[in-house]
Amino acid sequence: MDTFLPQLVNGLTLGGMYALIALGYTMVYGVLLLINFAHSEMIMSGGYVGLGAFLLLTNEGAIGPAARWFTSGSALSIVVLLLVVVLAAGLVTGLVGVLTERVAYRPLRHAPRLAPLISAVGVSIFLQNAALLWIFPSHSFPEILPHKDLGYGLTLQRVVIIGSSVVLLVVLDLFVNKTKVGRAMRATSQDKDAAGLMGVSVNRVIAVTFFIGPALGAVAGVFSGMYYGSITYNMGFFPGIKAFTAAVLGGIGDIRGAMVGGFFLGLVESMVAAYVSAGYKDVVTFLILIVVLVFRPGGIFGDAQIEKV
Amino acid sequence: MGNALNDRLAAWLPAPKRLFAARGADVPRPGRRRAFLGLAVAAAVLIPVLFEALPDFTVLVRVCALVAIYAVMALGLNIVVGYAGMLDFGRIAFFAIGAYTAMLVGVPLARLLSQHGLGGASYLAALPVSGVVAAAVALLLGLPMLRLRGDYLTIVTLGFAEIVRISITNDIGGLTNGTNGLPGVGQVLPSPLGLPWLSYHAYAAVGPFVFQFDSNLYWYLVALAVLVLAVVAIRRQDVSRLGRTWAAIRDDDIAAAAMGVSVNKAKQYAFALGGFWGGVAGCLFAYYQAFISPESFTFMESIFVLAIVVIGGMGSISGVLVGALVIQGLPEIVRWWATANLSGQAASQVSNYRNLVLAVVMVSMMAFRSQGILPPKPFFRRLGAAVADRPSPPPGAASGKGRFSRRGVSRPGSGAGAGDGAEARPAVRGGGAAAGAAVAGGPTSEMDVLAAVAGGPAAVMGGPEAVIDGTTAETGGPEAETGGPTAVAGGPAGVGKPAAAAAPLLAARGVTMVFGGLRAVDGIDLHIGAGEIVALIGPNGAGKTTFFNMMTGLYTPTAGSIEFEGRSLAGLKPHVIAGLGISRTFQNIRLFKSLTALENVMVGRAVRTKAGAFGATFRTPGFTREEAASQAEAEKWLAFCELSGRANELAGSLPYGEQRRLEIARALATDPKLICLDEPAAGMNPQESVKLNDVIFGMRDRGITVLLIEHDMKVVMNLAERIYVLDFGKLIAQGGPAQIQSDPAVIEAYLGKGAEAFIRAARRPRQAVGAGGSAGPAAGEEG
Repeated sequence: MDTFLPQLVNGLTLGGMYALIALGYTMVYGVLLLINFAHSEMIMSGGYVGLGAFLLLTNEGAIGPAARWFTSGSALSIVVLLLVVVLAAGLVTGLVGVLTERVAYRPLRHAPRLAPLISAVGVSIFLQNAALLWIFPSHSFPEILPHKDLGYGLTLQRVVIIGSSVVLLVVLDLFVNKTKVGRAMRATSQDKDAAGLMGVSVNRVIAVTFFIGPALGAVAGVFSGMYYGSITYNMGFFPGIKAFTAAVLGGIGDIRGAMVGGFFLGLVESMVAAYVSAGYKDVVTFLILIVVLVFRPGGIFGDAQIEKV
Repeated sequence: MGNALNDRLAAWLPAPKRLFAARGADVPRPGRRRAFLGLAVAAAVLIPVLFEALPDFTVLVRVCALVAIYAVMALGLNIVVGYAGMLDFGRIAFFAIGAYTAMLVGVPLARLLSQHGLGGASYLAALPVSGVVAAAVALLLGLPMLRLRGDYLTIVTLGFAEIVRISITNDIGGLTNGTNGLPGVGQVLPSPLGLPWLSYHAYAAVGPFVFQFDSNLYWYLVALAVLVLAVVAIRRQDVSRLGRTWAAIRDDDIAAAAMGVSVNKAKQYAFALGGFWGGVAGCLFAYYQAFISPESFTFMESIFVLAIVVIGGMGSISGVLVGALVIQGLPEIVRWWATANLSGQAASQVSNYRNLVLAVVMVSMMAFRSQGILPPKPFFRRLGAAVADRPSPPPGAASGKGRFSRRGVSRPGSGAGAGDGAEARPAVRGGGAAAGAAVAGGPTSEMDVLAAVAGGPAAVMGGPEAVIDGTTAETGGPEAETGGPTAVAGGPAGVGKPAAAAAPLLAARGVTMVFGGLRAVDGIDLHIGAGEIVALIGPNGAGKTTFFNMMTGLYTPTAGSIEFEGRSLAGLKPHVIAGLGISRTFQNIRLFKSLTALENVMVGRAVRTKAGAFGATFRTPGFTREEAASQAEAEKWLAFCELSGRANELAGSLPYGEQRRLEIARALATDPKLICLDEPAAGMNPQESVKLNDVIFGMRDRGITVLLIEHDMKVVMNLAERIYVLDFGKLIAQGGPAQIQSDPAVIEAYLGKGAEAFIRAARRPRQAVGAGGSAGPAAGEEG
C-alpha cells in the first residue's frame, strides 16, 4: 500500500496530462484522418510559452508593481498567475496549431496519404529545432503552486493537475456534443464533403479543431513543466507518443475513448515503473500501442471498419 | 544505377535532340546506360582518392564514407517507402540491429581470424550475417504488423524503433553497455584492414601521388562496393515481377489483391529486403565508427534517412543516391568549409541548423515537389528488355472483327445444336467446342442435377425463356434450352474433367451481407454454368457490386455460402480466389497508375508466376524465361483488347474507354475461369461498346465464363444468356433477356409501381417497329 496509493495518484496525474494531449490527436484524426505528428511539439510550445508568461508576470522590470502582487504568494495571486500562464500557453499554442495546419497540411489535403504525414514530421522537427536554436534547449520550470503535501503522494499540485484535466475534459465533451460548432465538427468528421454541402464551413471547423487540440496539449505542457520541474525542446516526444497510444486505445476519433485511454495509460506507466522496471516503462507503452493497433485497430471499445471498395 | 540518373547525365551531353527522340521510341539503350554507370562508379572511386591525396581535403573522405553507408540504408528504406508505399518512421532500428550484430559476430571472429593473419577480414562474414539477422527481425515483426495500413503501420514502426533503442539504452542482455556504448569493431581489430595483402601501413603509389590506405579511404571503398551491390540488386528486383507487385500494392492494394497479388507477401519481401540493407549498413557503421552508442539510433536518425528518400525521390534509386549526397554530404561539406574559412563556432552552427533546414525542406518539398529531386521515370523504368512495338498476331484464328462470334451463332445451346459453333469458337482451350457439342446432346438429365444443386431456380428458368428467346426456340423447345448452361459446363472448362460437367462453375446460396442496419445483399441464390454469359442487373444500390466483392473475397458474407467449382470460398483471401480462377474489373477503374499498360497486364500474371527476390537478383535462367513468358502473355491479352499500340503508355494517361479495356486485359491475364466485369460499358460511346461486345464474346469463345454487372441494357440484352435482377439486396427476377424485359417486378423496380401497365399498353406497337432497341437480336430472330 505504501507504494500503491502514491503510484495511483502519480498515474492519475500523468493520465490527466495524457488525456488532454490525446484529445488533440483524436480530434484531428477524427476530422482529417491525419496523425498530427507535430502535436507533441504543441506540448513543448505550451511549456515554453507558459514559462515565458510566468517570467514576464513575475518580472518587476517588465510589468512594474503588478509583478510584486504576483510574487506576493497570496492565494488569489497564485490562482490568477496560474490561470494567466495556462491561458497564454493555450492561446499562443492554439494559434501555432492553426498556423501549422494552414502551412503544412491544408496544401496537402488531396495529396497521397504519405505526404501529410511526412509534412507533419517535418513540422515536428522544425518546431523542436526552432525552440532548441532560437529559444533555449532546456530550462527549469517553476512549481507555481506552493508545495503542500496531502499524504499518499497527493500534493496540491497533483490535485490541481488532475482536477483541471477532468474539468477541461468535461467542458470539451459538452462543447463537442452540445454546441453548434461541436455539431459541425462531428458532421465534418463523418463526411467532410457532405458537411460542406450542408453549409458547414469545413475549413473553419478544421481551424477550430487545430486550435482546441493544441491548446489542450499546451495546458498539458504547462502541467508537465510544473510536474517535472523543467522543460526541454524535445519534451513532447514521449508524452506525445503515449497520448497517441491512449487515443488509439480508446478508438482514434473517439473523444471519450481518448480520455479513458489517457488515464489508463498513465496508470499503466506508473505501475510498471513501480513494480516492473523504470527503465522499460516506455517499452510497455509501445508494446501496448503495437498490440492494440495490430489486434484491435478500432480501439478496445471499437470495432474494425470495412473499407469501401 | 537508375535510369533516371542516366537520363539526367544524358541531358548534360551535347546531343539532347537525339536523346529525346530515343526516349520517344521507348527503347532503352543498354550500351549508353552502361557507359554512364561506369562513369559514375569511376567518379565515385576517383574523387575520394583525390581527396585523400590533397591534405586540405582529406577530411572529406570520411564524409564520403558516411554518405555511402547512409545511402545503403536509404536504398533499403526506399524499397519499403518508395516501392511498396509503406511509410516507415523507425528504419534506424534495423541499422541498430545490424550494428550490434556486427559487434557480437565481428569481434570474436576478428580475433579468431587474426591468428591466421587475416585480421579484419571478419567484416566479409559480418556483413551478410548482420543483414540476414536484421532481415529476419523485419520478417518476424512484419508477420503481425504488415496487416496494418497507412498511418498505423508508420506509428508501429516508430514504436518498434523506440523499443529497440530503449532496450539498447538499458543494456539489454548485458550486450550493449547501455548509454556508454561500445568501441566500434574497427577499434578492436589488430588492423582495420580486411584483406591480407593490405595491412594498415601498406602504401600504394599511383602516379605522382602516394596514398596511405588508412581506414577512412579503405572503409569508404568497402562501403562503395556494398553500395554498388545494393544498387544492382535493388534495381534488378525493381524491374522484376517483385517490383511490379510492389508498385501494384503501392498504387492500389485492393486491385492488386483482386489480381492475385499476395499483398502481405509483397510487403514482407519489401520489409525484409529493406531490413537486410539496413542491417548491412549498420554493420559497416559498426566497423567504421570509433564508437557505437544508442545516440546514433534515435528517432531523428530514422527521419534523417527518410528525408534522404523523400527528398531524393521516392522509388528512384538515383534519387536516393542524390538524396544521400545532398542530405548527408552537403551539411558536412559546408561545415568543413566553414571550419576552414570561418570560425569553429560558425562550423558548429552548421550542424545545429542542419535539422532545422532539413525540416523546412521536407515540408516545402511535400507542398511543391512531392516526387522529390529525381523522381522515378516510369517509361524507361522497368522493362529492361525493349518492349516490342510489333503488333502481336491476333489471338485465335481470325481475321478482323469476324474472329469474334456473334450472338446467335455460337450461343452455346443453339450453336452446338446447329453445328457451326466449332467454327466460331477457334481458341477454346483444347477443343472445348467439340466437348460442348457432345454434352449438348443429352442435356435434360444433367439439367436436373443442376437444378437440384442450385436449389430450384434453374428449373423455373428453363421453360419461359425457351419460349421467349428466339435463338433457342429454333433448337427445339424447352428441353433443348435447358441444355444451354449445362452444355457449356461440359464445354471449355470441362475439358480436363468431364466429371465436373454437371456442376455449376459458381453457386451462391443464401448469400447475405449486412452493413450495420443495412442488408446490402439479402439471401441471394445464384448459379453460373461454365461458358455462360450471365448478367447481374438492378437499380443503383441494389447490391450488385457488394455481391462481386463477396465473390472475390474483399468482403466476407454475413451469411450464406459461395462455391466455385464445388469449393467453398469462405474465408479465402482475394489473391487466393484470383488464383482459383475468378478475376474481376472494377466499377470505378482501379488501374495501377504509375505502371504502363503492359506492366499492368503483367501484374495479372503474378498469380501464375513465382519468381522471387533471388531469381530477380541473380537473373537465373528460370527467372528470365518466366519474365519473357509473362511479357508475351501480357502482350497477347493487350492485343486481344486491341491495346497493343498503348503497351508503353502509363495506365493513367489512357482515355477512359481504353482504361476499361486495359482492366479487362489485366483481369484476363490471370487466366480466369470466371471473369466478373463491373459495368464495363460505363462511360463508353456506342462504338466502344460495340467493340466491348466483341471482346466479351471473344473471351467467352476462349472458354471463359462471364458475369457482368451493367446498366447499359443494350449491352446486357445483347450479351447475356441469363440475367439476375437485384433490388434492395434481394433477387427479384431471373431468366432470359426477353423474359426479364417483360417481368412486372423488374419494371416496377426500375420505373415504379404502375409502370408495368403503361409498358404493356405501349409494348405491342413498339415491338413491331423495333428489332433495334433493347429487344434486339432475340426479337429479330424470332420473326
